Amino acid sequence: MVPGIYFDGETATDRKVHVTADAAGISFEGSDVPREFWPYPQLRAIEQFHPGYPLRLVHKAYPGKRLVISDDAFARQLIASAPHLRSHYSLQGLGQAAMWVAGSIAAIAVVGWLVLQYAPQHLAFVLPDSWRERIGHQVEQSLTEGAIECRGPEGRSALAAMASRLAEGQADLPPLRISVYDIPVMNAFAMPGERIVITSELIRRAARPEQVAGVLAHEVGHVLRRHSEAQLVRATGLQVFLSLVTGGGSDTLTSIASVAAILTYTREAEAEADDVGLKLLEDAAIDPMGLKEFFDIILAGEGTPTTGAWRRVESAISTHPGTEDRIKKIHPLPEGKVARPVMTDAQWQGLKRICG
Amino acid sequence: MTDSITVAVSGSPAGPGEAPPSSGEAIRIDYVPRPGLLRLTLINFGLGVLTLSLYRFWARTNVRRHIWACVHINGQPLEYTGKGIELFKGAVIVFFILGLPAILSIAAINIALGPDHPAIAGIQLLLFLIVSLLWGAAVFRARRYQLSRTLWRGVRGALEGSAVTYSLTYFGAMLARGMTLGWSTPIMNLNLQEQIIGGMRFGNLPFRFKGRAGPLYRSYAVCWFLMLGFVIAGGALAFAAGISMFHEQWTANAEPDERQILAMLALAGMALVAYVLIYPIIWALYTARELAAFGSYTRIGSAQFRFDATMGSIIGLAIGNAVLWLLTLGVASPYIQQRLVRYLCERLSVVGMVEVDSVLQSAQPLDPTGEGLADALDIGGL
Repeated sequence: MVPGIYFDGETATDRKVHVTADAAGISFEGSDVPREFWPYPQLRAIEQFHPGYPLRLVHKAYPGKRLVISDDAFARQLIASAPHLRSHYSLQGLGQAAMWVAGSIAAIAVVGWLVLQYAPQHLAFVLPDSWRERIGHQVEQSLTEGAIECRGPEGRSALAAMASRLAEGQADLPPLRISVYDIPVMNAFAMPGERIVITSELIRRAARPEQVAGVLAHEVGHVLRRHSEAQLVRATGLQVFLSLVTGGGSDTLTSIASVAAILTYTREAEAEADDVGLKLLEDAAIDPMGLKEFFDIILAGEGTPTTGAWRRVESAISTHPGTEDRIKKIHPLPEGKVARPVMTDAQWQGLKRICG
Repeated sequence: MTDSITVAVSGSPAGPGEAPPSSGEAIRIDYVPRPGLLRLTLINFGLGVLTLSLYRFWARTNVRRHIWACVHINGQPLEYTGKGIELFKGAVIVFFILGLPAILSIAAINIALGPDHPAIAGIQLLLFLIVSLLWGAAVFRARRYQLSRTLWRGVRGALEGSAVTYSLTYFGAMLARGMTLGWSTPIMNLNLQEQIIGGMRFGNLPFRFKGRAGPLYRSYAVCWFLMLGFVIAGGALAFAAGISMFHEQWTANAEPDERQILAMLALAGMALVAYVLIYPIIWALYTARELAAFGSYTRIGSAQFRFDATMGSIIGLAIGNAVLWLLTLGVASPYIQQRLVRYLCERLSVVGMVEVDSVLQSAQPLDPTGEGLADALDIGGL
């Protein structure tokens, strides 16, 4: 028999009781506490037991009552009779926790797949044209901010001729809006609403029209697969999803995760645009080696150190697949298919002078 | 069970109470650490990473259960009876009522009208207003949930009063603070504290809170001018550093090079760390005065609280916790909470007798869910 303290859950009075244990459970009574019997299976420990700290017990059916036992030896004896008192982590509780963890991981995986894979690919093709047009306009404005659009009429008609060459044999190619901006960095972008921007530097560095046509075909590949629309939906969805999971608090881990997820899809999109572009070139009987030559120019550029920290950062977070891998996929036109020139020499000279 | 403590009451403005302490027991608060906090911290971190932070509700619950059990009042520990699932449900409800509509409307406008459309700024402003109005309610409801899940000697705590009133006061306090450059802080803090402590119950025994903000103003003025000096000095220093480092770039209109960007980042980081560390130091004097005053304004039964907060101890606590947080990137937050609670236990005492034995169980109904709003708004605290 050991002393204990009993709280009845109705008042804050502490009542002294005497506690005894038998094979089936514990009994206690005090001067103002009638005798109670708590069987072992009904007992729960409030906190995990540590020697030197009182053992606090509750009866499953009376969640308000508390029995506190400070006698270490007695507490150990109780735990020997009812091992589930050792820890407040019951096997059932652990099982529940494991189910919650597994369930939430599964839910996160499913929702993540919906947000990253399913929704972007499908929504990109159902967005109203007026929305795509408006976003494309805004994106083009912000990407080319401060740069002058090149409007040389001969160059523009040469680009239009190049676009219609690419459209040969493509029934589903929507009308494209291609513009050239005076930007001293070699690049080209596809944007929502069938917009394509080519920089003046790219045209300046190109040695023949087939190189520009190769790049254009790649960008048309992005347009046909609506990659930029999908990316927009993906980024928005990811934002929603992450704030759902983290409860609004943005944190470093989740932003790294989201950048990584977006980059993975960007690389996939680049490879896909290459494939579509090569198919377009082949159908239009344009020499695909132009695209290869263009990649060679990029490769030569990758070797030389760039100036300025921003460009170093840009290449570190590369969005394009390894250039050498991309070159390997490019083959000359198949036997029997004869390449036809993309444009006349005069048109090419006009394109070269598009920025005046 | 009835070890009484002797506390000098000289200097406390109202003395130990109008009625002479008749019966009841003296109250003694101790922090008695238990083993197991390290294990808890590591488990919480691991499961948090695995579940993309969804485990946080259970993590928070486990930490509270541990720390509550370390707080002994007259030898009996507090007991935290909250459950992780209650926090989780609360967060889910708030997410569907508040978070999802907000995120979806912003996302829809983003896609329909483009990322630079002024409607987005409008929505964000509206959202900011809603959040500001709800912030106080979130604080109040979180406190009510925690008290209702806190048991001592088998009896629950409770918080009476209106979350709406508190929220409006909170919003008003924010506005007043902006308009008076902070000078309304002591009086508004007193008002807010009165609503919280005045509404607190242990079972059916109410806490009471009464006092004036006037005595706080001297220390507030000292801290306010110190802060002003710090802001001016820090601003001037940053400006001078910026000029000396980037003068050439600005005049030549060139891109900064790698080294300079690193230096810029380092400077910004240093400024942030300095702010995190210096802000609590500057305001420590006022914080200590406020804690001590609010402690002495608080009564339960015929006993009066006494909070022995000092500037030095507040600085030690704040710096220690800031360093702990920075070094572990928040992983050690259970230890930070333990340090806070331990500080409270060590510095808080009760002068006078409380008739604990006659306290009856609280009749307040229990909220089925807890703290959703506070989680959504990322309100700190225990």
